[in-house]
Amino acid sequence: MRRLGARTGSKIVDQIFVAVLLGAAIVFLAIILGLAASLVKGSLPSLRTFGFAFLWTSSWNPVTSIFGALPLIYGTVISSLIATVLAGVFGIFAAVFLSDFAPAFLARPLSFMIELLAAVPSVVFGLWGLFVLAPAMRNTIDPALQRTLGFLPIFSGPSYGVGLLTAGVILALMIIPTVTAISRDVLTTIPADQREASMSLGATKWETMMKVVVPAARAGIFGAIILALGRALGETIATTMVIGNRPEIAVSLFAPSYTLASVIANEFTEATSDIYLSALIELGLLLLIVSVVVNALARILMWSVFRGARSAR
Amino acid sequence: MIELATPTRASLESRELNAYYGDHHALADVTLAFRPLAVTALIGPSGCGKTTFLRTLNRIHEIASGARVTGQVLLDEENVYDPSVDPIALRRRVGMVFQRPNPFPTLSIADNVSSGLTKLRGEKRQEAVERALRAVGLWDEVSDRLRSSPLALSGGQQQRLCMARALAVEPEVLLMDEPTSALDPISSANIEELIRRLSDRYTIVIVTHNMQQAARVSDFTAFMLADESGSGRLIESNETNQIFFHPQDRRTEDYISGRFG
Repeated sequence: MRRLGARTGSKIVDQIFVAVLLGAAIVFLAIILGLAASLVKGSLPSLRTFGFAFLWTSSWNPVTSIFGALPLIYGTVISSLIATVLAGVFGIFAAVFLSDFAPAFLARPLSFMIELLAAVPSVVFGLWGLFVLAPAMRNTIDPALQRTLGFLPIFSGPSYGVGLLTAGVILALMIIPTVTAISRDVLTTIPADQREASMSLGATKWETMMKVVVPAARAGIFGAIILALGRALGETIATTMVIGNRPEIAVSLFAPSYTLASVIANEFTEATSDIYLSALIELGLLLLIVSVVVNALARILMWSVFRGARSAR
Repeated sequence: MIELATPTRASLESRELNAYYGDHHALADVTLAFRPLAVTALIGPSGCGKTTFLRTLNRIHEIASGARVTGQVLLDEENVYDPSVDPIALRRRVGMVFQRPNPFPTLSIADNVSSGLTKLRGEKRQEAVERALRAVGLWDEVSDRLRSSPLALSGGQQQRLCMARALAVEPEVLLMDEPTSALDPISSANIEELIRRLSDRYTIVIVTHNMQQAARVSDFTAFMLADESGSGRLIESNETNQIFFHPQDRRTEDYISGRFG
């Protein structure tokens, strides 16, 4: 007769398995905490010298060792917002086209090419931005914007080709594949009978997409945009090549700017004094905080918008 | 009690109707006239083309890629497959209810009902919503939560909401594709009773795999069967009593008596 108590081995295997999983989870936690701790430690001299003024002063001057990060925070947030708005609009339209309007012979190669766009290294985007997009912005797009929307301060002043708007456009190109691919996947999961129900009421295909299908997929699309925003905030090399690298806040989007990530990448090798190095490390800490805060805000926004729909489920 | 519009006797019939999904010939040469202001049940085993047939009647079949139709569907003597016909105008006259209750999850109960009402605004719109909800017997159950999500409703309530959504557009014909197959027996009985009540105002075509249901709700029954190449064909149609008690075709008798399908 087999005894039920004899096979304790399986229990031990389970315990080992749980321990391994727990270990993996702890490693990630430890990495994040360790990262934050070393950033805080490295930026202590800068934190002591400048305090919170680091956040709202606008002078970034290595010569006099006076450092304020406001223009860099501004450049980071605004360039990412421009990118998110552009990529959101174009990405959602592209996803709607791919999921419901494109014939199969077009949808497959197009999807493939959009995903290929995600595989292009960012330095290549940067090169293209510098040699193709920047001259085009300076000679064609920016003047056209100025002619039509020049009454808005954000489209005023001279264009140098490199600047906030150019950086936003390059970032948009880099994050469009993320928005498009995820949104398309979410749209295709909306059941066919939702589309048919709308069509059977006499709605056009366009009305069906905009009133029924896209709203039903909104949580997933929003998630895609947040993911893309995260990438835009931290993108370094392409931004550095096209944003103009000038730590100033200008009203015009044509003006050169600078981002947290770009400053770190550009100036780390030249940071000769301890306070300079510490200020750069504090920028890294800020970038981490900005990313977390922007993500949290986006999630709160999503939660408040969808609360009604979710509580009903 | 707010009354629905006066019933119109829309005549609906198919002539030599064929439907295809790509290379698959799903429906072959179906010619059938539906009695106005009566319930016609389409019955038959899985794959007999009954749902495809239903979906050709409001031209929802053709929205799938590779789907096409030949032959005619006549609504009041007008061929709905004529190139001059706008399928949107057709679908506003021929409403549809689906197999699974499928309210729009992001719209409120009231907005679900009014989602097909493009022209009405304000008070007229609210009246139309109330009228449609009363017509399906849902008004008393949801009148205090018109602004909340339809997903909190039970399956049977959701299906009646979907019927209200279709009726709000004031169609003349109502197509129903196995409307109770996802519901519990009590909800199913409610829907069946509702179909009986609506049959004096609408021409109703219902697809069902449930022969008892066909016997309970329908005035006329059409039996369909796939031929050896998999194309659905109409075998016979008649008054429901005749189909169930005096079938003319051997195959109908076999199906009715449960010998296959």
